[in-house]
Amino acid sequence: MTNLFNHASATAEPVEAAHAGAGPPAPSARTFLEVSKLKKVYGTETKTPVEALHEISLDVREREFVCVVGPSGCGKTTLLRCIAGLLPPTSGQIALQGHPIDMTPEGMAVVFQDYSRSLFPWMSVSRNVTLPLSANGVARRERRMLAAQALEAVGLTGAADRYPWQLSGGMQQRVAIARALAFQPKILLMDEPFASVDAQTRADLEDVVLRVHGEFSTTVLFVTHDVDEAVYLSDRVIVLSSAPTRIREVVPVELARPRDQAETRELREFVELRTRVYRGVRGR
Amino acid sequence: MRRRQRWLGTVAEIGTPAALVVVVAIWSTGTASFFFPPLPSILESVWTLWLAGPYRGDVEASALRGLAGFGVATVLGISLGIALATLPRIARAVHPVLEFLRAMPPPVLVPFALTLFGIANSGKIFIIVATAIWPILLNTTDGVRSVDPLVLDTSQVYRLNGWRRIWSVLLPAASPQILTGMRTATSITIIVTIVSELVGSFDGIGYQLLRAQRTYGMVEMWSGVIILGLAGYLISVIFMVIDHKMLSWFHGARGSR
Repeated sequence: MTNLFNHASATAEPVEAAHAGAGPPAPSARTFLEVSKLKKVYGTETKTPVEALHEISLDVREREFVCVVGPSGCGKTTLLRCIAGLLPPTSGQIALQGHPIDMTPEGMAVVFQDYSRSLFPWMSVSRNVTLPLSANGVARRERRMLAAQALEAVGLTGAADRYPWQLSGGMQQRVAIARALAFQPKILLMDEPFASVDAQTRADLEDVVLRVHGEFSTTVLFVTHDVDEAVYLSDRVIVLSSAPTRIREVVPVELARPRDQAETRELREFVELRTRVYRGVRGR
Repeated sequence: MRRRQRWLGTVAEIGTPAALVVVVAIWSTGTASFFFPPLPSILESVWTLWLAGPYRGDVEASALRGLAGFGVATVLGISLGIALATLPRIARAVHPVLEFLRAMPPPVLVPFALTLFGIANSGKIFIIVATAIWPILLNTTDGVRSVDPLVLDTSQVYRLNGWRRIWSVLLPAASPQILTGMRTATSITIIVTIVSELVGSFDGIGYQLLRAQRTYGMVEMWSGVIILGLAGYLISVIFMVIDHKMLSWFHGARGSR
């Protein structure tokens, strides 16, 4: 099997997973992404600057799945956009593998919430997936192979020649995930990716992400407002306060993998974690 | 039901102009009006005079000027439009100049072009470019400026830079508006081509129309007008085909929302 994710091959043979989130290698102890004292103030030149982020410090270890939750309007998206290099922070530092970053660093992929706007409607599904690869100097044959693998991983093998607008919302978000996967990111950022799909599709897509994380050992930073989703997916949940945002609590999630939509959510441990995170979000 | 409606639509599309032609033909054949010669003889001379006769060279000359002018206007308009949309500082600096140039009515340029280029083709093409470029340039700028910010974020994340960003992202995203600008530019091109041939010219449809008017050649004049109408219709058909081929994603994406 070819390694879709280069750095994954050293740690584990990718598993043909039947379940969602087939056992990924445990997160390493190494810090992968480090955010220190990140501060973002909007409208610094105006009379009424708004402090969105108040000195956020967090770290994500290699192969770890970290979820960020918080009340709506708490600056989750601001945080993610700063990390993605789409928004310059007011102060503070972001480092990936020890290197400070300002622009979007190499080896980072982002899946946005609004799939219908982040996919390019004038390109077929396969072209959407391969365009970032051709822009980054991947040879044609390899591009095709990576795209085929990525589309297979999200269950879209048959849709390569269709156009985004011909697909349902859930399928479009799968394309966006496939595009990110084919890019072979060292770290995958996801900004409330399932906020605008229906519940059933949402569960399916959660399992797609878990499986991908397991198979390819990607490091994932996942922003969501959904407490259940955060606990179900992650190794660690970071709970944010409302603006000006601070980190209120960090909840380790040590539920066994692979996880299962029905069984995992029934576990007493899951329910307890869910309650704890929920209270954290509500500030009680 | 659907098929029947489509069929009726086709009949109406062909039937209405055909009926119009028949009515005018019957009416004009009966009259002895000097200004409205019989339609059959006008239609006949469309072919015998313009398309296969002595004025064929004039049709070709006009078509060539129009195509050259439109082509240059398209290339320049799109390139400048992208430049202005992506370089806001330069756009601000040249804005007053552009507004000034845009405000100039095309006939005003004719004496200038005559002085600069003489009666050569380049003068006429210059006038066509100078007037047809505006809708293309403005639509391109507007189209590129209004590209969805999330599309731009996505391009940045996936490091689509330089030419690839222009070619694979900005141009296609703005293409519906660019095409609208080009379509507007075609009618301007036809008008300005004819106008440019009215002064300082020895061939072209415009030149022959003026000559026909001066010699009271009403049949020649009317058939020339019909030639221009046919050209306009042909262009609009071509644009419908391009629209269908290039913008199916746009109509599809809009329809599915």
